[in-house]
Amino acid sequence: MNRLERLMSDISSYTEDNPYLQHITEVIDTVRSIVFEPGVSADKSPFLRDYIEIKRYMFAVVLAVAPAALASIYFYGWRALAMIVVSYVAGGIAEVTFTLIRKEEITEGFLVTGILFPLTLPPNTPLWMVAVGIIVGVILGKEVFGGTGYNIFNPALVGRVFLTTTFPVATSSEWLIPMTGGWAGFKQFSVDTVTSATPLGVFANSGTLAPLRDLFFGNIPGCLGESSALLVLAGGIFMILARIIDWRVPVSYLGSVFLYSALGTYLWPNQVAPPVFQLLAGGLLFGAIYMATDPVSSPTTKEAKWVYGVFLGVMTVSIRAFSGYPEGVTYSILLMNMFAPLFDEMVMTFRYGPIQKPYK
Amino acid sequence: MKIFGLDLQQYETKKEPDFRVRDKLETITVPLKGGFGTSLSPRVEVGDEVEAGEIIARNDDSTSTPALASLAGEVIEIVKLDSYHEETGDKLEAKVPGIKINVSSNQGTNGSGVDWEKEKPKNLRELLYLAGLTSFGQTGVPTEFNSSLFSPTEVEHVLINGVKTEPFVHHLIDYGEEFTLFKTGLEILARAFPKSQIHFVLDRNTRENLEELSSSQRIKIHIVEYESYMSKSKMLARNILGEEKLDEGGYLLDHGLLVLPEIFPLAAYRAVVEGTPFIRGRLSLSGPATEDRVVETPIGAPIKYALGEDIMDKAEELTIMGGPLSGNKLENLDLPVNKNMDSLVQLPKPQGSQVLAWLHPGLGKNSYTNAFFSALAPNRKKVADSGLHGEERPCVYCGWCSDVCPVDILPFQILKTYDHGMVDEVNRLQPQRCVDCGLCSYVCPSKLPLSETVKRAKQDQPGENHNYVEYEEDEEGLMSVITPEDEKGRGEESE
Ligand code: SF4
Ligand code: SF4
Repeated sequence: MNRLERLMSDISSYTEDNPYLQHITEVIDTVRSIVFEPGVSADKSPFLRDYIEIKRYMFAVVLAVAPAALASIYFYGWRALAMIVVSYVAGGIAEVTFTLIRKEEITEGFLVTGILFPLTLPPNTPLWMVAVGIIVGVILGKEVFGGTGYNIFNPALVGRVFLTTTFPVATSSEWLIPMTGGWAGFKQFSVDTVTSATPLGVFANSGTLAPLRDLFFGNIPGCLGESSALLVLAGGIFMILARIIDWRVPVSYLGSVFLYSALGTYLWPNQVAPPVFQLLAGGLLFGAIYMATDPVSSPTTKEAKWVYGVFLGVMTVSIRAFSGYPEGVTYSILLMNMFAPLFDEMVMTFRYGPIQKPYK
Repeated sequence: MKIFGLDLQQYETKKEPDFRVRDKLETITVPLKGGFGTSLSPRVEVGDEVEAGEIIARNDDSTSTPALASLAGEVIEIVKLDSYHEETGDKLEAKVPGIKINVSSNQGTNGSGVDWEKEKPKNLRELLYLAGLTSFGQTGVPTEFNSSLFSPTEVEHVLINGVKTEPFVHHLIDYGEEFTLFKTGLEILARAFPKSQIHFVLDRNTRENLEELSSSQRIKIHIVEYESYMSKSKMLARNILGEEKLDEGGYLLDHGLLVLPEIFPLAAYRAVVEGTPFIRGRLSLSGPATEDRVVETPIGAPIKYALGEDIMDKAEELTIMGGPLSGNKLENLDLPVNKNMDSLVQLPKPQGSQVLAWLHPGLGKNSYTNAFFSALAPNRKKVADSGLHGEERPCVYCGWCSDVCPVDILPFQILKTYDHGMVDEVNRLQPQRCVDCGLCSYVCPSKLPLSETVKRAKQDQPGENHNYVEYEEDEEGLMSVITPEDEKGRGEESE
């Protein structure tokens, strides 16, 4: 034990004995466990254990999304970073408060929600709104269900839906046009050239398609993280190779979007956009890679993951084409989150048969 | 090398073990139980002189195998030894009696063997019984002498498990030098159980080092992949008997399968051809914290002594009985060696409190994921220690535990439903399929006690799914086994 660690353990044993400070012990212990791996031995077999742990696991996701986050600064200025910081701070406070009330350990899942949430927002979302959104997401999306591991819905998407339905004007009437060329957004705090619609919105209104090259490299208006399809894809490939996410969900989701829109654009060319445009525009890639793969709120069995992905694809294209909304990724994922346990149950019934009740 | 999936071979040291015989002892304590069966009542008293190989405890009216004095000497005390649950490793309330002998001579026995090819099967079985060999196997080796819950006619297959695929664990047999004797041992078994098929199973890596393996009609040789779970007898049983049968639960002998350890054919050879009963066991010692050895030592020698003086005092290290993935912690190195011990692994304790360990590149860190730089250097040897490498957290449903499970069960679902006491749900998830390989707990990023929970769920199975022998104390505070008959009787009472 070095000095810092000894100091922290002294503080935590002091606060534990002190009736007024008792409840912050958990926070100190959490900080300590993040900084120092305790080096405890496994108590029961197996005595040999994998080195992966939740902190590394969550960190890998943050690492994967980091290029997209950096790109959002490049496109929209340092304000993007401010949104991420606000999300971490406000959400962190909500998370810690809740764990203190419940007297449970603080879990690392928030590391991921805290960065994914602002990346799903339009770049001109007011900072206070970011704070409100993440607090709602953490509390209503996760804590009310019992915390990380027990939530039904993806907390970041719960926060996002709350904002888009409560403040529709602020979150979907104006979009910023990203900067490109030279240092672009790295030289300024914010961008103020606005447009009225994202490529999906433009297609819904006028049937005009944005150039695929721009969609791919990121020269299009949209939410913070979804601007550059290239970087989102790179993050996804990294996570799949690192085995942090399962490849089945993105592959089946994107695959079914492709097939369904190929068929759809042939049958209803005015409503359904062509497949490659569908894949690259809007939040589809970001959602398929970072949101639909959230292990807690998606199905856990392999077969159910395929079914889940296919349903997501069909739903997303349908919302985009036949509803009043130009984008449908968030709603599809939240809706399918509800069905995830059902899909798992179907797979288990198929595999093991129904639950046997004794003495029937 | 694997890009995806678990590669535990990255831990192996591949050192040739050093073979030693350790028999210079002053006292030994023969446990009156070793393997399957009730504890025995001593047939000798304090002060008696015993010969090496002499039967010192025997119970003819309950299922048991006699205990033999492993060295000649004077009985000085009848002691009570701590006992541990075979599956969970929990310390039991009950004690096992042991006979402490002050050794007067380190000479072995001078028995004489028989011409096994001319003996009747029944006589061969008797020889195995008298040599103390029938306590092996999940429910004992069936003979005419009440050594098992089953009768010899029920044995359809005999499986010799020669698979040592858990990291570090060595073979107890030197297949180069001793293979001829070993093969004769297999033939003796084939003769002792004339109606059965003998299976000898080896892993692929060991097979490569063997010159010639001829299988005959009666003796089949199987080669399995080098995967850690293949060393589990239940896994091999699934391969030989078919999965559906075993999913029904029950003892392996309910399905006609007798599984025996690697040492058995050699011990049978010695007992029958040389006339030497099973009084010397073999132990493999290995692991990054110690030397690589195979020791042959009299049964009843203190484990510490058997390991060798030079490694006696490594109290810092964790000693595991069995393999590092499925064995149990060995709390007390003074316990005597018993018949069933075959491997000890010593793992170093983890280095305490590393700063931001989760941010380290991790070139030497083995992982199922590729989230460490070790994924880019698969041939680099991985650091093995007994660390948990993280803290327990709620399940995140990554599904890795079910991905690695060799028998396709969903450990996280069993954990969840078991913790909530949802018995019907747990039973549907078929925990009885589990072969105790420990891989689910190995890969879990939340460090949840998966294999342990599945093991407990399996033991709680209703009906006739008693895969495991349970223990309870009898009047004298000694252990006895609950036989299926007992179990049935109880079931009826409680319903
Ligand atoms: S490996 Fe651990 S965290 Fe992942 S699903 Fe299994 S129990 Fe849950
Ligand atoms: S449940 Fe765990 S211990 Fe049992 S067989 Fe599957 S992976 Fe191995």
